[in-house]
Amino acid sequence: MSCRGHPAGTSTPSNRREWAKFGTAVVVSVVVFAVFSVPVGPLPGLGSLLDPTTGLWSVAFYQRGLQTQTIQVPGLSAPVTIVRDVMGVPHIYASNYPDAWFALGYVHAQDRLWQMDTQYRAAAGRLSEILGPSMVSTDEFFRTIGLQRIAATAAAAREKAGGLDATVINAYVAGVNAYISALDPPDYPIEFKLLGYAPEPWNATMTLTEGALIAWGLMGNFYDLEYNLLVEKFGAAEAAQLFPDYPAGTQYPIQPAAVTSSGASLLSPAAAEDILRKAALADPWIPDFVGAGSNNWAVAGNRTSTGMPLLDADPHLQFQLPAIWYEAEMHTPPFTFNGTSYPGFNLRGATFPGIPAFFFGTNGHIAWGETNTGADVNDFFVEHLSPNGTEYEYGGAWYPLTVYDEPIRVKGGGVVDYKVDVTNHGPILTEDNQTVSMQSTIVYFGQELEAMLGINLAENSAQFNASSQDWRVPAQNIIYADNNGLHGNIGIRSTGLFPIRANYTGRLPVDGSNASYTWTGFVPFADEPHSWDPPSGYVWSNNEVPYPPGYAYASSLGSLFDPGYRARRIHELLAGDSNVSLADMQSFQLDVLDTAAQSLVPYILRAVTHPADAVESQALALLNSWHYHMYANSSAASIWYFFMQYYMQDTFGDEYAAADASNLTLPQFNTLENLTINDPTSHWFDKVSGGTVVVQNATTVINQAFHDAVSHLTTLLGPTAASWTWGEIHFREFPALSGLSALSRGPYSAGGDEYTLNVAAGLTAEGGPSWRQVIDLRNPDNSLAIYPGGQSGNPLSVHYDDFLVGSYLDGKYLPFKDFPNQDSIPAASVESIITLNPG
Amino acid sequence: MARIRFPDLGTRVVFLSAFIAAELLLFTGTWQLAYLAGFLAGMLSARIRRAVILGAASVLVAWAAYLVYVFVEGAGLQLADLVGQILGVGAGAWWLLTVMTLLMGALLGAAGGFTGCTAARLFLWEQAGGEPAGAAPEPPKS
Repeated sequence: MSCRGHPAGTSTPSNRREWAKFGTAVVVSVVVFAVFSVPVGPLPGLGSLLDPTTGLWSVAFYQRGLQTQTIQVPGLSAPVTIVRDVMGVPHIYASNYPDAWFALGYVHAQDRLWQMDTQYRAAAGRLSEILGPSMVSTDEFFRTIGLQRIAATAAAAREKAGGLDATVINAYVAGVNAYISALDPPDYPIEFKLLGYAPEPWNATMTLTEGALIAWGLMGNFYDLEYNLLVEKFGAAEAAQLFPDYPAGTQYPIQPAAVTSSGASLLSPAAAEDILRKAALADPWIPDFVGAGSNNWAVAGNRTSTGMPLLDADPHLQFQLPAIWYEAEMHTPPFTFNGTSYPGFNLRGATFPGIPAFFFGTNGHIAWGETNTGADVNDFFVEHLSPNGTEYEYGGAWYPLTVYDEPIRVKGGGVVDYKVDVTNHGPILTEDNQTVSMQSTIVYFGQELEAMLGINLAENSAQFNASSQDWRVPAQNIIYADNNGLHGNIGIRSTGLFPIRANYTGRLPVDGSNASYTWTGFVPFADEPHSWDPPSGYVWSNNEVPYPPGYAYASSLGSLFDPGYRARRIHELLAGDSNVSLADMQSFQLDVLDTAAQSLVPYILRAVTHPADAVESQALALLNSWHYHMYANSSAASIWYFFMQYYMQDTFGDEYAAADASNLTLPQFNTLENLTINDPTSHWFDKVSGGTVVVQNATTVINQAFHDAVSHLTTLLGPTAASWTWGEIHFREFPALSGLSALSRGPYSAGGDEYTLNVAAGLTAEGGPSWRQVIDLRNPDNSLAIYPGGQSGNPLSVHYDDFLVGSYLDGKYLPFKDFPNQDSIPAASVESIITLNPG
Repeated sequence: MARIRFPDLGTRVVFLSAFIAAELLLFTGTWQLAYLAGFLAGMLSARIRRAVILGAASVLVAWAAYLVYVFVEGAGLQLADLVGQILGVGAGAWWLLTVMTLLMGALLGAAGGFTGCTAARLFLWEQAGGEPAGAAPEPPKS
């Protein structure tokens, strides 16, 4: 270095000071860069988040992509018009059906890309890649179940089969990718930015993986393991009293059939508990059925005010924002596929972002909707492995385990080497104390889109039934109505794969090495529970037991279903109304009468003859004048709710505690109701404590529970029973899929409970009606629908939650009208028009 | 290495030069490049304190100008408010993201200014006892 006054190579005090200052500046610069570059937990460095043009700020311009415009996209064969209405609902008009599904993929990605990505990642066991090491156990569980392996196999099989579903999936995938490939990083949804990753190109396996996640959420139960633990604690006979082979109490099954019983417990508690623990880790990522079930019903034309069928459906799923559903309308001209002519897709209804099909809705000729059958389609096998752990025994011979390498990449570096061992039954879920594998119908998942697309195209019951026959997993109660003939037709069937078990019932795990415990087939389609144009004039399902006592395939469907209170209520409402109107159908869906209360409150009033004080007298008077509606402004509703909790706990809690089973699920309330009415001196009412037993009866426990409930409410809300309104303590809440509370909504005061048609289980209901539709088959344009949330996944958009406050939460519906062409949409209802041109 | 005489451009010119550089570099979508705008301000500043201040100010003002555009033309306010909520500060804390962003810009600019000034003095400008030749004399300290 040369420098005036300081020749190169010389060192003067002044020169050293300059170097010191420069060195300090470099160090300060490194520190500044480091501060803004270092990731914080799952978040990327602050620098990329705060960058004004590419960081979080660019989300402020999200509306640009949704404004009226013409976009060139590769993969289309002709222009497609997408009209978004003022509620953000896209109406898709295409000159051929693949282009229409392409456009659906495009709008799904536009509005819900992060939801699609993250739900896929959850199912595929790839959350660790974006959320870090805390997700490894969750990923291991999903890798073990193997939803992505199942989906990949299914995608290849469907492609090879060359069905309509493959064509539709391919078009849909192209649409999603057309959007993703045109997306610049600044335009990524906010969640991608917060987590510092980019969306991957979509493919058919991802669509089916997401489908498998939803299927697993509806069928992936581990009741057998819990039941095994109950048997371990109480013995087979007692456990069967708590969870009987056929649900207790009054039942209204879907269709009129013998139930068998399992033997003793085989599985070790440690193994069962290990599997249950792993499964619980995955729960938050499964958009599952919330234990409170779903509703659907249809009324024949000869019992409606319109002369044609009316159909209601409201699936109850966990609430989430962005919402689980996405509403859309689609119109295509008729087409021919593989030599068969189809009328074209003319659909409106509810779709899952990531999946090309309309799972609820109407095509103007028929309407459909599903509830979960809740059948027992997962069995558990205690396997015998060879000493070196590479072979399993089956039927006296040894077979090698199939081993899948499932490396889990973890954000922040590192790969967890994970292997999944699989026997002939399925994946090994635990080797804690015992080796337990699971056989599940989930491995047959894959052709459901073919089935649902067939239903979407069907115009009559024959076509509907032919298509629903293809439906495998998860078993669903699919309801149907059409407007053919004088009064149309209605029907319902529990459709899916129900395994026929040889030499065991499926209630308890069995010896995996014993080849006599096997599935010998599935219940024939014709023998699945169904009801078609019944004399009663209505069909329904509320997740109740679908078959009556005596059904030949009872053990194929299982024994644990919804307790049946909602089925009682809808049966009562439909049987009592021979001129059902559209308004009636709405009021039924919003009904909050609790039939469990209807059944048991009279027992409280008879049992509690000597209230302890003035507050108990007030509470009793409120129950006496109550009509069993769980309205938000009802005080009796609060008393009933806490009575139920204490009645269950006071009856069974002591026995569970004495058996060291307090972590296990208590029986269903209908079991207690049945004991109260039919066996009021049952030993379950006795007080068990410290090895002593005090003999009690139902009346004693009712008094105790009533006293406990009143004391609880007095502590919670004060000594004036009239002020204990249900809405003060009972809420609906809508958590964000991201887990960020700022993106969640609620809590909102709400009526209803676990047993009302308008379900809102617990004190804070985070699940419930996730889509409500009321379809008028006389004039489909009068139909109504709504769902909690909104069309957009962007929390800045008005369409993120605009269906909630003032609409869904107030029991209102939105028009669900058919707009057969672009010009039929009133200009005032149009928010934007996007034209996609082949590019 | 040949050295050049320090062009004493004056505060306004230095600020404007760095501001324009910061604004242009902003659109590269690479936040790290804001440092270069500060570096430029530092190079053109005779003294470190001025370099740091001008570096910080030029980037801060450039970014602030862009944020005004985001607030006016986009949903900047809602976005900033949402991020405030995500950070747990609650509704109405739109200023938090704004302040954090501008602070980052200012720090990058300041660090750039500091480094630019010291580097230029070492490697670029003809020097006279620690100050670039041509620099205005230091005002007497009171």
